[in-house]
Amino acid sequence: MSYKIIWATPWNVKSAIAKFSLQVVTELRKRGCDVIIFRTETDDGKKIAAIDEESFEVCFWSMKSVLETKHDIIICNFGDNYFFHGSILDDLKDLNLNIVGIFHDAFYCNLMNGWASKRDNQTLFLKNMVENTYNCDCEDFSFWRDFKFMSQNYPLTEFLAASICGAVCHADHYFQRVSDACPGPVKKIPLCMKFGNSSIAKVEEKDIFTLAVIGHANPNKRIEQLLTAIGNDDFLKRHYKLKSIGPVEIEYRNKLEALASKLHLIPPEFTGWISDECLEKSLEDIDVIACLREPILEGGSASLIFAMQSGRPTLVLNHGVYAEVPDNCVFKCNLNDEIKDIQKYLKWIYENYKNALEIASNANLFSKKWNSVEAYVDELMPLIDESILSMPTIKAAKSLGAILSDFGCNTNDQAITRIGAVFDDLFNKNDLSEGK
Amino acid sequence: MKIGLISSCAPFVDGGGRFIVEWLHQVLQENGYNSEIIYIPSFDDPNCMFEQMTAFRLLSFDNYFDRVITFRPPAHIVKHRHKIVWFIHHARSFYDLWGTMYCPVQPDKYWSSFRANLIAADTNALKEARRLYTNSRVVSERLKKYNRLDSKVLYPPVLHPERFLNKCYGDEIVSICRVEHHKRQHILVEAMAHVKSNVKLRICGVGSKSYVQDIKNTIIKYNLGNKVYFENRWISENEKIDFLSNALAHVYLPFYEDSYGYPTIEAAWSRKATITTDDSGGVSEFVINKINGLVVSNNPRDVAEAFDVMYFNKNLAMEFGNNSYERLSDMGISWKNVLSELLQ
Amino acid sequence: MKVLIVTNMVPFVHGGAEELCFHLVKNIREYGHEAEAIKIPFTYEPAERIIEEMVLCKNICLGNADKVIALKFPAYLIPCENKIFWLVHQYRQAYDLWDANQTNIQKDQRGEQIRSFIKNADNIAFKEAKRIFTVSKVISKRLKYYNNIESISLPSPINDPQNFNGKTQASYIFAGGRVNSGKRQFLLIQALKYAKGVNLIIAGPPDNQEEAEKIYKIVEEENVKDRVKIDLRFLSREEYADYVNRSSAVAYLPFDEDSAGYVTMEAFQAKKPVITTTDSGGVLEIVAHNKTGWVVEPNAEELGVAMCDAIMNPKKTLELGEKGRVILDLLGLNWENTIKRLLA
Repeated sequence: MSYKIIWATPWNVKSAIAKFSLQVVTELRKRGCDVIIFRTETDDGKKIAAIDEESFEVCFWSMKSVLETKHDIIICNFGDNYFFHGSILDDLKDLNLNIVGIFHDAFYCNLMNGWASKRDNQTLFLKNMVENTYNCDCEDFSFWRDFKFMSQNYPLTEFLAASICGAVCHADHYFQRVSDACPGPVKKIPLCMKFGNSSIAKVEEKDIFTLAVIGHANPNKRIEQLLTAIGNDDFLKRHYKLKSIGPVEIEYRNKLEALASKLHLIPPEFTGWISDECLEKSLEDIDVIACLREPILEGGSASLIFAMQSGRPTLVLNHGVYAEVPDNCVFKCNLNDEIKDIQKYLKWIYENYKNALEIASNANLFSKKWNSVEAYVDELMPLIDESILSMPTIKAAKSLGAILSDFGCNTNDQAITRIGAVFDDLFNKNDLSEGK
Repeated sequence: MKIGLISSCAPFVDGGGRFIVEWLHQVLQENGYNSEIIYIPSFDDPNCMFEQMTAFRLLSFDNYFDRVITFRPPAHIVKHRHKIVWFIHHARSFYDLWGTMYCPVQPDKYWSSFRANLIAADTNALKEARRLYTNSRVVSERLKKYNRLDSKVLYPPVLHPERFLNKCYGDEIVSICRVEHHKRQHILVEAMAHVKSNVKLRICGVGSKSYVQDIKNTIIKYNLGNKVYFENRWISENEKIDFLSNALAHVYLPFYEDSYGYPTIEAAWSRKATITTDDSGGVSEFVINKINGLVVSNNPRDVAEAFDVMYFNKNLAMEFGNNSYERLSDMGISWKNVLSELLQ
Repeated sequence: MKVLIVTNMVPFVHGGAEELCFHLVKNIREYGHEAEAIKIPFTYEPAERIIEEMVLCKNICLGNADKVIALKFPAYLIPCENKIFWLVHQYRQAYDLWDANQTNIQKDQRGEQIRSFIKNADNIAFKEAKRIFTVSKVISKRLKYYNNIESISLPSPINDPQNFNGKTQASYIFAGGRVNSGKRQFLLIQALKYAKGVNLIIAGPPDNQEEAEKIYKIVEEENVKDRVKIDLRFLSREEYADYVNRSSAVAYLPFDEDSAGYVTMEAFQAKKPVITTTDSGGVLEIVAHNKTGWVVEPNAEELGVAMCDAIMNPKKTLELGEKGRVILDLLGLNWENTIKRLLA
């Protein structure tokens, strides 16, 4: 099956999703699909440099362009960043479900907040969105709480899932939410990413190991916990230094440096944002990678893939997508014993580096298969097929729902359930294969 | 037994789809049954097709009728504990006309998927029928091909056929139906320009202004005013009976029609043969060449020859005419048969 | 112009409300347009089912009509351009009959929800209409009160005014129309003991056998068999008109009727005054005491006195009858005017 695809995505050098997109559309094209890139950055996002790639037709998202472009399906990459993903939101309703959504994140409050900031009454807009999406009445509503609370109670993933006809999740932990809200088929496909050939880690006598944390430095990445773990152990203090590779805000950097200093640690290194090429080069100096996340706001993790394919022993927390990696590939810390587990593993890795590298090479082998672009597209294409097959009945069901909602029926009204059952009974999906 | 006759209707359009329902209703009443016609409007727009099907599906008839008989789509979608489907045609744009110039949508991925869903839903609904009938072999073949369903052909009779008479085999070939391009009266007129005998042609019926005018112009063009009688008006039942009773033969050559057409049956009751063409579709289910009529190519000269053959061989016209009459019972085209099938 | 009339039907039930639809179609055709009636089956038990009925109507597609005249809930929910309401019925059990505790909608939270669904659906439909007419002032008032919608009352005309030519007076009071407890014909039987010398004819279809039995029983109880003629069946127009034409006066006392009623208007057409009660609702829109008839309290004694007056004072009765006709003529209710207004 070859399709004409509008691929909606960020397309700038700072977006991991852009990197992912380029790899996936290249593979799709290999398989006979026609792909046009529609960039989803807002005006602010457009200021960032575009990725250097000539072979695809690229334009900026607009409804007009969508209507003028012949296509079988729109595949839209959803990420929790308004600058990178915001320009499609105003048109979501009008697209009338012609979209398959790829959910890169499990939390979209930042995206929605950015969208709300363009409205007259930002607070009311967000309140209404939460109330309508979760069918609740929020009396004393405050949108911004701690991320863990928000991600567990109103991640707003469902708002997006309800407007599309098919979806991809990159991990199990948010699959149910998307599946419950999406009227069409939902599939879990592990995130794919291909990195350049990484340098092989050397087993050499080193006094100090470099522990790297990759990506935007923020509390979610558990850098403070890593520093604390190292700082509370004499052995680790002497043998580990931290390197943060990625952008960091000045206040947070100061905070981390203060903590390190208080704990008498080797001063951590901050690289700021660096390109992927530089990242891969910098691996030469890296001995261990920490890929700890709490709370889980993401879907899959490009950093995890990078870490696994880097051949460096990698620490993770045992939840989210990280729990799906086999135990013999990464070092899994439990959230309840985080500090202790970090200490345990860092010590073991230092003293058994050769063995640690074997575990790391397991991860590499595993990830090359699990996160391969070919495997991703193998799964993506049948999902597109299924989504297009669902579209006509999803549209009819939606207009049915609109009639009932105009009457004043709530989404869980017994009439909607009854009439939905009559509809489903008539358009029973099981018989679809016969008609083809 | 309370019987519901459920069909769709296109407001302001009469036609074959209504006769089958209304005549059955009358016959049922005459035979002492309690029947009621329910017409629900439907409109041929793919963009609201599934919504309309949902409307039919939501109708509730279990409390009113012991059984329902459905006719024109999407009436077959209704749910009832004892549903009998007398299927007269599919939503042809998405079936046999898919991908042709007659299909109003592009066969792209979306509409292909729409089609798959439609066929699946139709099949679902048809499977629910206790018994599945069609009005012609063509329709049965399509049900088999596209929905993989077996069906029985139940030929629709005309109302009170005993009204039709045979008085004599005169010198007129008669055509009585709507005057439209797909009924192809223009071939009949052109044929008359080539006849060698003194045969006459009587065309009766009303139709679209432009086509009617074309016919009139063609009659004038070939100077056929004294051979072709164009009764461009609504013909009463009695007039129809009269014209057929005195006809030499009957002609009916629509373009690929699914069913044999009521005119063919009316002629048969009058013991008149029907002349038709090999591209008329369902008419050939009734008319067998040189047995109870003539089946020729749609070339006006061949049609003319058929007219002449009938004129020069009145005994043949009589033989074919009588065979037509016999064929009615051979094919079970009778209300007795219809009732025994539908009411079992 | 192609005009579609949309209304409801209940399988196997054919009655007064259908008459309006039939005559509307007939008269629109006589006026020179194409007209067709669409009748959607309506099931309202249990009340929860009404939601499905509303949804299915909203999914029906009418296709191309120049004007659509909608008469009843829920058929008037069918979406279309150029919709004109000529409102015969809302679903009163969600509105005034709910308030009067005469509803099939359960009086609990769910019932309130169902009511609000109906109201919301109604309000959307009314707002989409091009024009809103109703068949009576009472219906307009209710529409304003419950839905805050303005409308124009346009009563339906008598279908066959030529039948009501009013002959000589015999000395009987005629009570026509449907026979049931709500129409209160029994009161007239009870009134006879206060109306010496007065004869009464009650003729019309009883709602069911029970209602018929009730009437016979009261005649027995009152022992007035010799003064009452009971003719309980569906009368032909000629039979009915004959009863009216030869009466002295017509008695019509329904409880809180929606409109003046055909019985009242037909009486006036025949120049017969009307005996009615203070609580007969719309009837009082045209019947006034001692002007065009008698309006008395709904008890046997006062009715008896009125009936006596009608029979014993033939001159007065004639005068009131003439005035009644004048009032009727002033209303200008005929089909030509009605159709002009509807299709304007």
